[in-house]
Amino acid sequence: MNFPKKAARALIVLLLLLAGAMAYLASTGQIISAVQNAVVTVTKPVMKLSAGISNAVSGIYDRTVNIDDIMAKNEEMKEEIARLRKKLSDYNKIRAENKEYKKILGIEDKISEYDISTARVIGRDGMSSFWSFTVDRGSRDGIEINDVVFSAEGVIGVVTDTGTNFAKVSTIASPAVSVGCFVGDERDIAILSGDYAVGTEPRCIAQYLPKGTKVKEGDIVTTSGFGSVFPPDLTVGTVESVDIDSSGNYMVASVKPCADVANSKIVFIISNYNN
Amino acid sequence: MYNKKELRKLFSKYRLYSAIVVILYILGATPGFLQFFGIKPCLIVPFCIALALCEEDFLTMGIYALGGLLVDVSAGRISGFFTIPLLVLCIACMLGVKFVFTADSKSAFAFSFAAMFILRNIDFIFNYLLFGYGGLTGFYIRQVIIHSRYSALFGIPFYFLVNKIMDYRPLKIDARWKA
Repeated sequence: MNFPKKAARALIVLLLLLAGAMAYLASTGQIISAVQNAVVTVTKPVMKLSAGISNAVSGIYDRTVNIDDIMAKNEEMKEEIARLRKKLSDYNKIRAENKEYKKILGIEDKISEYDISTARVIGRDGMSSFWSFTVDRGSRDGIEINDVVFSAEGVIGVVTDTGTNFAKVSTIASPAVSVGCFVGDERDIAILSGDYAVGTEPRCIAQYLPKGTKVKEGDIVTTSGFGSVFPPDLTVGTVESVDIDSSGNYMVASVKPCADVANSKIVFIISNYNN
Repeated sequence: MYNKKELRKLFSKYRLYSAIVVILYILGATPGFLQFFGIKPCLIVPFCIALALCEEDFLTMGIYALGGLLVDVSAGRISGFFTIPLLVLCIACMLGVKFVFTADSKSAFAFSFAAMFILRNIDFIFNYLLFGYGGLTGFYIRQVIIHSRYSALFGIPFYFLVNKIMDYRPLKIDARWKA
Protein backbone atom coordinates (compact mmCIF):
# COMPACT_ATOMS: atom_id res chain seq x y z
CA MET A 1 0.00 0.00 0.00
CA ASN A 2 1.37 3.48 -0.88
CA PHE A 3 2.23 6.06 1.75
CA PRO A 4 -0.61 8.58 1.46
CA LYS A 5 0.72 11.66 -0.34
CA LYS A 6 -1.57 14.09 1.45
CA ALA A 7 -0.53 12.69 4.80
CA ALA A 8 3.15 13.02 3.87
CA ARG A 9 2.61 16.62 2.77
CA ALA A 10 0.69 17.38 5.99
CA LEU A 11 3.54 15.90 8.04
CA ILE A 12 6.16 17.98 6.24
CA VAL A 13 4.09 21.16 6.66
CA LEU A 14 3.61 20.41 10.37
CA LEU A 15 7.32 19.74 10.89
CA LEU A 16 8.23 22.98 9.08
CA LEU A 17 5.73 24.94 11.19
CA LEU A 18 7.14 23.49 14.40
CA ALA A 19 10.73 24.16 13.33
CA GLY A 20 9.79 27.72 12.36
CA ALA A 21 8.07 28.29 15.70
CA MET A 22 11.11 26.89 17.50
CA ALA A 23 13.45 29.20 15.58
CA TYR A 24 11.21 32.22 16.25
CA LEU A 25 11.01 31.48 19.98
CA ALA A 26 14.77 30.96 20.15
CA SER A 27 15.38 34.30 18.44
CA THR A 28 13.13 36.14 20.90
CA GLY A 29 14.55 34.34 23.94
CA GLN A 30 11.23 32.72 24.86
CA ILE A 31 10.65 29.08 25.70
CA ILE A 32 6.89 28.74 25.98
CA SER A 33 4.76 29.23 22.86
CA ALA A 34 1.25 30.69 22.78
CA VAL A 35 -0.34 27.23 22.37
CA GLN A 36 1.46 25.85 25.42
CA ASN A 37 0.65 28.98 27.41
CA ALA A 38 -3.04 28.56 26.55
CA VAL A 39 -3.16 24.87 27.47
CA VAL A 40 -1.33 25.28 30.78
CA THR A 41 -3.35 28.41 31.67
CA VAL A 42 -6.59 26.51 31.14
CA THR A 43 -5.44 23.42 33.05
CA LYS A 44 -3.97 25.37 35.98
CA PRO A 45 -7.05 25.03 38.25
CA VAL A 46 -7.03 21.25 37.75
CA MET A 47 -3.28 21.14 38.39
CA LYS A 48 -3.80 23.05 41.64
CA LEU A 49 -6.52 20.62 42.69
CA SER A 50 -4.37 17.63 41.78
CA ALA A 51 -1.38 19.04 43.69
CA GLY A 52 -3.63 19.75 46.69
CA ILE A 53 -4.92 16.17 46.74
CA SER A 54 -1.40 14.78 46.39
CA ASN A 55 -0.13 17.00 49.24
CA ALA A 56 -3.02 15.91 51.47
CA VAL A 57 -2.31 12.23 50.80
CA SER A 58 1.42 12.63 51.44
CA GLY A 59 0.59 14.54 54.64
CA ILE A 60 -1.53 11.63 55.90
CA TYR A 61 1.24 9.22 54.90
CA ASP A 62 3.86 11.26 56.79
CA ARG A 63 1.70 11.47 59.91
CA THR A 64 1.09 7.71 60.01
CA VAL A 65 4.17 6.00 58.50
CA ASN A 66 6.94 8.55 59.05
CA ILE A 67 5.92 9.67 62.55
CA ASP A 68 9.18 8.38 64.12
CA ASP A 69 11.30 10.42 61.67
CA ILE A 70 9.16 13.47 62.33
CA MET A 71 9.57 13.10 66.11
CA ALA A 72 13.36 12.70 65.75
CA LYS A 73 13.51 15.78 63.52
CA ASN A 74 11.43 17.67 66.07
CA GLU A 75 14.03 16.95 68.76
CA GLU A 76 16.84 18.07 66.41
CA MET A 77 14.98 21.32 65.72
CA LYS A 78 14.56 22.01 69.44
CA GLU A 79 18.32 21.65 69.99
CA GLU A 80 19.00 23.91 66.98
CA ILE A 81 16.61 26.57 68.38
CA ALA A 82 18.38 26.53 71.75
CA ARG A 83 21.76 26.93 70.04
CA LEU A 84 20.50 29.78 67.85
CA ARG A 85 18.94 31.60 70.83
CA LYS A 86 22.39 31.79 72.41
CA LYS A 87 23.81 33.17 69.15
CA LEU A 88 20.97 35.69 68.87
CA SER A 89 21.93 37.54 72.06
CA ASP A 90 25.50 37.95 70.71
CA TYR A 91 24.09 39.10 67.36
CA ASN A 92 21.85 41.74 68.96
CA LYS A 93 24.81 43.14 70.90
CA ILE A 94 27.01 43.32 67.80
CA ARG A 95 24.18 44.86 65.78
CA ALA A 96 23.66 47.62 68.34
CA GLU A 97 27.40 48.40 68.35
CA ASN A 98 27.45 48.42 64.54
CA LYS A 99 24.58 50.90 64.49
CA GLU A 100 26.45 53.26 66.80
CA TYR A 101 29.66 53.06 64.74
CA LYS A 102 27.69 53.85 61.56
CA LYS A 103 26.15 56.88 63.26
CA ILE A 104 29.58 58.13 64.33
CA LEU A 105 31.05 57.65 60.83
CA GLY A 106 27.96 58.99 59.00
CA ILE A 107 27.36 55.79 56.98
CA GLU A 108 23.85 55.30 55.63
CA ASP A 109 22.36 51.90 54.73
CA LYS A 110 21.27 51.41 51.13
CA ILE A 111 17.91 49.69 51.36
CA SER A 112 16.97 47.13 48.71
CA GLU A 113 13.44 47.48 47.45
CA TYR A 114 11.58 44.48 46.23
CA ASP A 115 8.09 42.98 46.31
CA ILE A 116 7.43 39.52 47.69
CA SER A 117 4.51 37.35 46.63
CA THR A 118 3.42 33.90 47.75
CA ALA A 119 3.03 31.04 45.30
CA ARG A 120 1.99 27.40 45.46
CA VAL A 121 3.88 24.61 43.77
CA ILE A 122 1.42 23.02 41.34
CA GLY A 123 3.65 20.82 39.24
CA ARG A 124 6.79 18.74 39.50
CA ASP A 125 7.30 16.81 36.30
CA GLY A 126 9.36 13.69 35.63
CA MET A 127 10.88 15.14 32.45
CA SER A 128 12.36 18.09 34.30
CA SER A 129 15.72 17.64 35.95
CA PHE A 130 17.12 18.87 39.23
CA TRP A 131 13.74 19.21 40.97
CA SER A 132 12.52 22.13 38.89
CA PHE A 133 8.84 22.89 39.33
CA THR A 134 5.87 25.02 38.28
CA VAL A 135 4.16 27.62 40.48
CA ASP A 136 0.71 29.19 40.21
CA ARG A 137 1.87 32.78 39.66
CA GLY A 138 2.81 34.19 36.26
CA SER A 139 3.34 37.34 34.22
CA ARG A 140 -0.16 38.55 35.09
CA ASP A 141 0.95 38.64 38.76
CA GLY A 142 4.11 40.61 37.98
CA ILE A 143 6.44 37.60 37.97
CA GLU A 144 9.36 37.89 35.54
CA ILE A 145 12.27 35.74 34.45
CA ASN A 146 15.15 35.77 36.99
CA ASP A 147 12.86 36.51 39.93
CA VAL A 148 14.25 34.75 42.99
CA VAL A 149 12.22 31.99 44.65
CA PHE A 150 12.78 31.18 48.32
CA SER A 151 11.08 29.68 51.35
CA ALA A 152 11.25 30.46 55.06
CA GLU A 153 14.34 28.18 55.28
CA GLY A 154 16.30 29.65 52.39
CA VAL A 155 16.81 30.16 48.68
CA ILE A 156 15.17 27.62 46.39
CA GLY A 157 15.86 28.86 42.89
CA VAL A 158 15.03 31.31 40.16
CA VAL A 159 12.19 31.78 37.66
CA THR A 160 13.30 30.64 34.20
CA ASP A 161 10.11 31.13 32.21
CA THR A 162 6.66 32.60 32.71
CA GLY A 163 3.22 32.02 31.30
CA THR A 164 0.11 34.10 31.92
CA ASN A 165 -0.67 32.52 35.27
CA PHE A 166 2.19 30.10 35.89
CA ALA A 167 5.96 30.14 36.04
CA LYS A 168 8.73 27.56 35.71
CA VAL A 169 11.36 27.58 38.44
CA SER A 170 14.85 26.08 38.22
CA THR A 171 16.32 25.22 41.58
CA ILE A 172 19.78 25.90 42.95
CA ALA A 173 20.41 22.14 42.57
CA SER A 174 20.64 22.73 38.81
CA PRO A 175 24.14 23.31 37.36
CA ALA A 176 22.57 25.95 35.09
CA VAL A 177 21.75 28.19 38.10
CA SER A 178 24.71 30.05 39.60
CA VAL A 179 24.55 31.98 42.86
CA GLY A 180 27.20 34.41 44.08
CA CYS A 181 27.63 33.66 47.78
CA PHE A 182 29.59 34.18 50.97
CA VAL A 183 30.70 31.08 52.85
CA GLY A 184 31.46 30.79 56.54
CA ASP A 185 32.39 33.30 59.23
CA GLU A 186 35.19 34.77 57.09
CA ARG A 187 32.66 35.36 54.28
CA ASP A 188 34.83 33.81 51.57
CA ILE A 189 33.46 34.53 48.12
CA ALA A 190 32.33 31.54 46.06
CA ILE A 191 30.03 30.61 43.17
CA LEU A 192 27.37 28.07 44.08
CA SER A 193 25.64 25.82 41.56
CA GLY A 194 24.02 22.41 41.40
CA ASP A 195 25.99 19.22 41.77
CA TYR A 196 25.74 16.70 38.94
CA ALA A 197 26.85 13.72 40.98
CA VAL A 198 23.59 13.60 42.88
CA GLY A 199 21.63 10.75 44.35
CA THR A 200 18.06 11.25 45.45
CA GLU A 201 18.65 14.53 47.34
CA PRO A 202 19.46 18.00 46.03
CA ARG A 203 23.05 19.10 46.58
CA CYS A 204 25.12 22.09 45.51
CA ILE A 205 28.81 22.89 45.24
CA ALA A 206 30.44 26.18 46.17
CA GLN A 207 33.41 26.63 43.87
CA TYR A 208 36.44 28.93 43.67
CA LEU A 209 37.02 29.12 47.41
CA PRO A 210 40.57 30.29 48.12
CA LYS A 211 43.09 27.60 48.98
CA GLY A 212 43.72 28.90 52.46
CA THR A 213 40.02 29.06 53.30
CA LYS A 214 38.90 28.37 56.85
CA VAL A 215 35.51 27.09 55.70
CA LYS A 216 34.49 23.94 57.58
CA GLU A 217 31.56 21.59 57.93
CA GLY A 218 28.49 23.33 59.35
CA ASP A 219 29.32 26.81 58.04
CA ILE A 220 26.43 28.81 56.63
CA VAL A 221 26.31 29.89 52.98
CA THR A 222 24.49 33.14 52.17
CA THR A 223 23.92 35.09 48.97
CA SER A 224 26.40 37.89 48.32
CA GLY A 225 24.19 40.02 46.06
CA PHE A 226 26.86 39.98 43.32
CA GLY A 227 25.38 39.32 39.89
CA SER A 228 22.23 41.39 40.54
CA VAL A 229 19.90 38.38 40.46
CA PHE A 230 19.91 37.19 44.05
CA PRO A 231 19.48 39.80 46.79
CA PRO A 232 22.21 39.70 49.46
CA ASP A 233 22.06 37.92 52.80
CA LEU A 234 19.57 35.21 51.91
CA THR A 235 20.41 31.84 53.46
CA VAL A 236 21.36 29.21 50.91
CA GLY A 237 22.65 26.18 52.78
CA THR A 238 25.19 24.60 55.09
CA VAL A 239 28.61 23.20 54.22
CA GLU A 240 28.87 19.39 54.40
CA SER A 241 32.48 18.92 53.31
CA VAL A 242 35.40 20.83 51.83
CA ASP A 243 37.85 19.45 49.32
CA ILE A 244 40.39 20.62 46.76
CA ASP A 245 39.04 20.95 43.23
CA SER A 246 40.32 19.08 40.15
CA SER A 247 42.60 21.94 39.05
CA GLY A 248 44.32 22.06 42.46
CA ASN A 249 44.04 25.86 42.59
CA TYR A 250 40.81 26.27 44.56
CA MET A 251 38.75 24.59 47.24
CA VAL A 252 35.27 23.24 46.67
CA ALA A 253 32.59 22.88 49.33
CA SER A 254 29.65 20.52 49.12
CA VAL A 255 26.56 22.40 50.31
CA LYS A 256 23.23 21.07 51.51
CA PRO A 257 20.44 23.55 50.74
CA CYS A 258 18.54 24.75 53.82
CA ALA A 259 15.29 24.96 51.91
CA ASP A 260 13.40 21.76 51.07
CA VAL A 261 14.11 22.10 47.34
CA ALA A 262 12.62 18.73 46.39
CA ASN A 263 9.33 18.97 48.33
CA SER A 264 8.42 22.64 48.92
CA LYS A 265 4.71 23.27 48.60
CA ILE A 266 4.53 27.03 49.27
CA VAL A 267 7.24 29.43 48.15
CA PHE A 268 7.89 33.18 48.03
CA ILE A 269 8.92 35.07 44.94
CA ILE A 270 10.89 38.31 44.95
CA SER A 271 9.87 40.52 42.04
CA ASN A 272 11.16 43.93 41.02
CA TYR A 273 14.42 43.34 42.90
CA ASN A 274 16.23 46.66 42.68
CA ASN A 275 19.55 46.98 44.46
CA MET B 1 -13.19 10.23 2.54
CA TYR B 2 -15.30 9.95 5.70
CA ASN B 3 -19.09 10.31 5.66
CA LYS B 4 -20.91 12.55 8.14
CA LYS B 5 -21.41 9.87 10.78
CA GLU B 6 -17.79 8.79 10.60
CA LEU B 7 -16.64 12.41 10.85
CA ARG B 8 -18.66 12.85 14.04
CA LYS B 9 -17.13 9.69 15.51
CA LEU B 10 -13.69 10.83 14.41
CA PHE B 11 -13.97 14.23 16.12
CA SER B 12 -15.28 12.59 19.31
CA LYS B 13 -12.42 10.11 19.30
CA TYR B 14 -9.76 12.77 18.80
CA ARG B 15 -11.33 15.01 21.41
CA LEU B 16 -11.03 12.05 23.78
CA TYR B 17 -7.38 11.47 22.83
CA SER B 18 -6.60 15.18 23.33
CA ALA B 19 -8.29 15.12 26.72
CA ILE B 20 -6.27 12.04 27.71
CA VAL B 21 -3.01 13.74 26.71
CA VAL B 22 -3.89 16.81 28.78
CA ILE B 23 -4.92 14.64 31.76
CA LEU B 24 -1.66 12.73 31.50
CA TYR B 25 0.23 16.04 31.52
CA ILE B 26 -1.60 17.06 34.70
CA LEU B 27 -1.00 13.69 36.37
CA GLY B 28 2.63 13.70 35.30
CA ALA B 29 3.10 17.13 36.88
CA THR B 30 1.28 16.29 40.15
CA PRO B 31 3.87 16.42 42.93
CA GLY B 32 4.63 12.96 44.31
CA PHE B 33 2.33 11.05 41.95
CA LEU B 34 3.94 7.76 40.81
CA GLN B 35 7.24 9.01 42.20
CA PHE B 36 9.69 6.39 43.47
CA PHE B 37 13.23 7.13 44.67
CA GLY B 38 12.95 10.63 43.24
CA ILE B 39 12.02 9.47 39.73
CA LYS B 40 8.68 10.36 38.12
CA PRO B 41 7.66 8.82 34.81
CA CYS B 42 6.76 10.64 31.63
CA LEU B 43 3.24 9.48 30.74
CA ILE B 44 2.67 11.40 27.49
CA VAL B 45 5.33 9.71 25.35
CA PRO B 46 4.20 6.10 26.06
CA PHE B 47 0.61 7.13 25.31
CA CYS B 48 1.61 8.70 21.98
CA ILE B 49 3.58 5.57 21.07
CA ALA B 50 0.60 3.33 22.00
CA LEU B 51 -1.58 5.53 19.78
CA ALA B 52 0.92 5.19 16.93
CA LEU B 53 0.88 1.40 17.27
CA CYS B 54 -2.92 1.15 17.16
CA GLU B 55 -4.22 4.01 15.02
CA GLU B 56 -3.52 4.13 11.31
CA ASP B 57 -5.10 7.54 10.78
CA PHE B 58 -2.64 10.37 10.13
CA LEU B 59 -4.87 12.80 11.97
CA THR B 60 -3.12 11.49 15.08
CA MET B 61 -0.23 13.79 14.08
CA GLY B 62 -2.13 16.57 15.84
CA ILE B 63 -2.22 14.50 19.05
CA TYR B 64 1.50 13.76 18.83
CA ALA B 65 2.21 17.48 18.33
CA LEU B 66 0.04 18.41 21.33
CA GLY B 67 1.72 15.75 23.45
CA GLY B 68 5.15 16.93 22.36
CA LEU B 69 4.36 20.56 23.21
CA LEU B 70 3.22 19.54 26.70
CA VAL B 71 6.38 17.47 27.18
CA ASP B 72 8.38 20.59 26.19
CA VAL B 73 6.55 22.65 28.83
CA SER B 74 7.03 20.06 31.56
CA ALA B 75 10.72 19.60 30.75
CA GLY B 76 11.30 23.36 30.54
CA ARG B 77 12.63 23.11 26.99
CA ILE B 78 11.91 25.37 24.05
CA SER B 79 8.76 24.51 22.08
CA GLY B 80 9.60 21.96 19.43
CA PHE B 81 12.61 20.47 21.20
CA PHE B 82 10.76 17.28 22.05
CA THR B 83 7.78 17.86 19.74
CA ILE B 84 9.63 17.39 16.47
CA PRO B 85 11.48 14.17 17.41
CA LEU B 86 8.35 12.76 19.07
CA LEU B 87 6.34 13.41 15.92
CA VAL B 88 8.96 11.70 13.78
CA LEU B 89 9.27 8.74 16.19
CA CYS B 90 5.50 8.22 16.34
CA ILE B 91 5.15 8.29 12.55
CA ALA B 92 8.08 5.87 12.31
CA CYS B 93 6.34 3.54 14.81
CA MET B 94 3.12 3.77 12.84
CA LEU B 95 4.86 2.85 9.61
CA GLY B 96 6.95 0.18 11.32
CA VAL B 97 3.89 -1.56 12.70
CA LYS B 98 2.09 -1.23 9.39
CA PHE B 99 4.84 -2.82 7.27
CA VAL B 100 7.27 -4.70 9.53
CA PHE B 101 6.40 -5.26 13.18
CA THR B 102 3.41 -6.62 15.08
CA ALA B 103 1.49 -4.37 17.44
CA ASP B 104 1.14 -5.97 20.86
CA SER B 105 1.91 -5.15 24.49
CA LYS B 106 5.57 -6.23 24.15
CA SER B 107 6.16 -3.95 21.20
CA ALA B 108 4.32 -1.18 23.10
CA PHE B 109 6.92 -1.47 25.87
CA ALA B 110 9.84 -1.81 23.45
CA PHE B 111 8.85 1.14 21.27
CA SER B 112 8.02 3.28 24.31
CA PHE B 113 11.45 2.54 25.78
CA ALA B 114 13.15 3.26 22.46
CA ALA B 115 11.29 6.56 22.04
CA MET B 116 11.97 7.68 25.63
CA PHE B 117 15.61 6.62 25.36
CA ILE B 118 16.11 8.58 22.14
CA LEU B 119 14.36 11.69 23.50
CA ARG B 120 16.29 11.62 26.78
CA ASN B 121 19.55 11.14 24.91
CA ILE B 122 18.81 14.13 22.68
CA ASP B 123 18.14 16.17 25.84
CA PHE B 124 21.28 14.84 27.52
CA ILE B 125 23.51 15.66 24.54
CA PHE B 126 22.21 19.16 23.84
CA ASN B 127 21.63 20.34 27.40
CA TYR B 128 24.36 18.66 29.43
CA LEU B 129 27.08 16.88 27.42
CA LEU B 130 27.76 19.75 25.02
CA PHE B 131 28.22 22.14 27.96
CA GLY B 132 31.18 20.06 29.11
CA TYR B 133 29.90 19.32 32.61
CA GLY B 134 31.79 16.62 34.46
CA GLY B 135 30.57 13.66 36.52
CA LEU B 136 27.69 12.83 34.20
CA THR B 137 27.67 9.03 34.52
CA GLY B 138 25.39 8.84 37.55
CA PHE B 139 23.15 11.50 36.09
CA TYR B 140 22.92 9.55 32.80
CA ILE B 141 22.03 6.31 34.54
CA ARG B 142 19.26 7.92 36.61
CA GLN B 143 17.84 10.50 34.23
CA VAL B 144 18.17 8.59 30.96
CA ILE B 145 18.25 4.83 31.45
CA ILE B 146 16.18 4.34 34.60
CA HIS B 147 13.71 7.08 33.71
CA SER B 148 13.22 5.65 30.20
CA ARG B 149 12.56 2.14 31.50
CA TYR B 150 10.15 3.34 34.16
CA SER B 151 8.21 5.47 31.68
CA ALA B 152 8.14 2.67 29.09
CA LEU B 153 6.24 0.42 31.54
CA PHE B 154 3.21 2.64 31.06
CA GLY B 155 3.21 1.85 27.32
CA ILE B 156 1.55 -1.49 28.10
CA PRO B 157 -1.60 -0.22 29.89
CA PHE B 158 -1.89 2.65 27.41
CA TYR B 159 -1.79 0.15 24.53
CA PHE B 160 -4.76 -1.69 26.03
CA LEU B 161 -6.51 1.62 26.72
CA VAL B 162 -6.20 2.78 23.11
CA ASN B 163 -7.45 -0.61 21.87
CA LYS B 164 -10.47 -0.32 24.17
CA ILE B 165 -11.23 3.16 22.82
CA MET B 166 -10.93 1.93 19.24
CA ASP B 167 -13.24 -1.03 19.93
CA TYR B 168 -15.80 1.15 21.70
CA ARG B 169 -18.81 0.92 19.41
CA PRO B 170 -19.93 4.59 19.44
CA LEU B 171 -16.42 5.60 18.30
CA LYS B 172 -15.51 2.66 16.06
CA ILE B 173 -14.52 3.47 12.47
CA ASP B 174 -13.11 1.07 9.89
CA ALA B 175 -9.30 1.24 9.92
CA ARG B 176 -7.97 2.33 6.57
CA TRP B 177 -5.43 4.69 5.07
CA LYS B 178 -6.94 8.11 4.62
CA ALA B 179 -5.59 10.22 1.75
